[in-house]
Amino acid sequence: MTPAARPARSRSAASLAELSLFGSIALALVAMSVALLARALRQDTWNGGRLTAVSSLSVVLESLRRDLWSSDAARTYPQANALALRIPADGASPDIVVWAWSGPGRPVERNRRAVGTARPLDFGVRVHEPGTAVLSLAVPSGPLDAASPRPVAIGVPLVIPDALWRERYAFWSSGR
Amino acid sequence: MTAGAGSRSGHDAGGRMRRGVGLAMPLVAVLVTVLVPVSLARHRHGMQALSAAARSARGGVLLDLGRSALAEGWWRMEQALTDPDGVVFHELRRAGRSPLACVVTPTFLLERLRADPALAGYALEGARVDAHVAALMPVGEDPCEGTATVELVVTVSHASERVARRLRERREMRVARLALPPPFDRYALVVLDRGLGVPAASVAGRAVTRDHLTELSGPDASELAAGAARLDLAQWRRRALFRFEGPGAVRRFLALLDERAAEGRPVSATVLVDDPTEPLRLRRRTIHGRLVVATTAGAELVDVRLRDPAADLLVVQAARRVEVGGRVDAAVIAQDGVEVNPGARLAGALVLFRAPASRDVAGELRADVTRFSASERSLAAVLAPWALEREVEAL
Repeated sequence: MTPAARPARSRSAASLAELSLFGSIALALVAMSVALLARALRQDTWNGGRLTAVSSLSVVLESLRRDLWSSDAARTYPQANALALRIPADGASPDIVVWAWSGPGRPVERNRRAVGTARPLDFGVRVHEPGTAVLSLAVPSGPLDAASPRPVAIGVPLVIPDALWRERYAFWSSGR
Repeated sequence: MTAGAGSRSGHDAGGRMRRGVGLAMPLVAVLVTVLVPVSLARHRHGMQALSAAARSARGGVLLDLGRSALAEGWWRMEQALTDPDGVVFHELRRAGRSPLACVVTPTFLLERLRADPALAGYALEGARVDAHVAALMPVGEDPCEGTATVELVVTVSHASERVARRLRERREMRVARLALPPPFDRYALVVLDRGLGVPAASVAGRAVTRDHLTELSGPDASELAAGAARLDLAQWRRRALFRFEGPGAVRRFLALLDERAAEGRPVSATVLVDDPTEPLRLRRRTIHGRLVVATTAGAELVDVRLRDPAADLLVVQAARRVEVGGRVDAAVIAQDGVEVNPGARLAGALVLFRAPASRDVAGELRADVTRFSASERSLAAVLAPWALEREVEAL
């Protein structure tokens, strides 16, 4: 007896087992891709945050150094994290420029206008020994939502030009 | 879109070929749609931050370079002010001169810019510092003495970032006559209230006696009267380069002399010591520099020498009585009497507002007036130790 011929089946269609196998592989590949992308994104955010912090520090410090060079007197207000600089104007009354920081999450301000985009962790004058002081600025770097951001800190010596000469030549008489 | 790696093919129930992009293609499309804008935005932000940081950092270097250029510019300007062979020296000492513009070359900085690879790309525009000296404003009766503003301007730049800074600094410059004020520099002895005088030329190098005194008349008398106005102590408050005022003024002035002597540096200035309660006592001192001192009190001068008689000088003007003892190399202007002790020898000149009693003058006056000449070279041009104003401009 000749067995009855089975109906022809298409071999090109995937079986359930094949579908499950390939589906699993595809899902694993997608999951790996997403994980890699997420990690790269976090790394990129950290680098971006650090770059932004350093950039912002550079902008603030350059502006601050210009003011320091132009000034002839300074006064610090530790309670308010502020520094007031007197900038002489020949033939006119001197300008007063106030650098201040109102606390974490706030930018450094020059005459109440924000300078740079960073939100510093610290801004203030540290007196190291009599006659020397450093103006320090620290900003967080890395992702803004990180639990403990690593600060980037830069300091510039707080030197008022000519202060030494004004002290040493207190007897100089202007003819103006 | 043609199917690539992600295309799938098969047959339907009727045996017809079916074609599609399957799962991979939408996945790639979603990733590209999301990742490309995010990446571009992040790249743009990163480049902006990097550019801002680079510009600020270069701006900081430019500020330092500009400060260096100005510091060297002031140093070279000071040299030009005191070089008798230079054009600036003569221009600044000309009465009624007009504003002056000149160029200073900061050679040291230019050499550093050429030699230091870390400073590649930085440049001093025009390789120069521009100097502008404003017209002199007189501070008293002497038209050659006065004050003026000197401004130095420098522009520094960096080629690649197109960052540039212009720095401007102004200082006061004083011109003071370090000599006996004219016309007294031509006399060995003058008694103003009697209109008497001894021209220096008539007694050069010899002892001056009462017999040399002659009555001054005509232009000489009127010139001396005008010259006396320049000795007014009220004018000294503006004329003086150095002013010591109030209690302790004498002590502070002498401390300056001691400090400079210890450093071996001269003191050359017009000085007002304004403390009527304490006489100026110069005892056993050697003067280094050209010093013209006025005091609102009296003065005691005992054994005062010059370190280099050819270059140094001392002129002392006192509002009250002056006492001279030992050897004193100085010109003395006594507004309220003088007492020259027996054995004293004054090598210089003597200007008396009032004729002294015979008993007050027992020593010797030897005319030595050449060093007190109020010539162009006696005018000292001095820059103030600090700036009047500074500006930084970002270009």
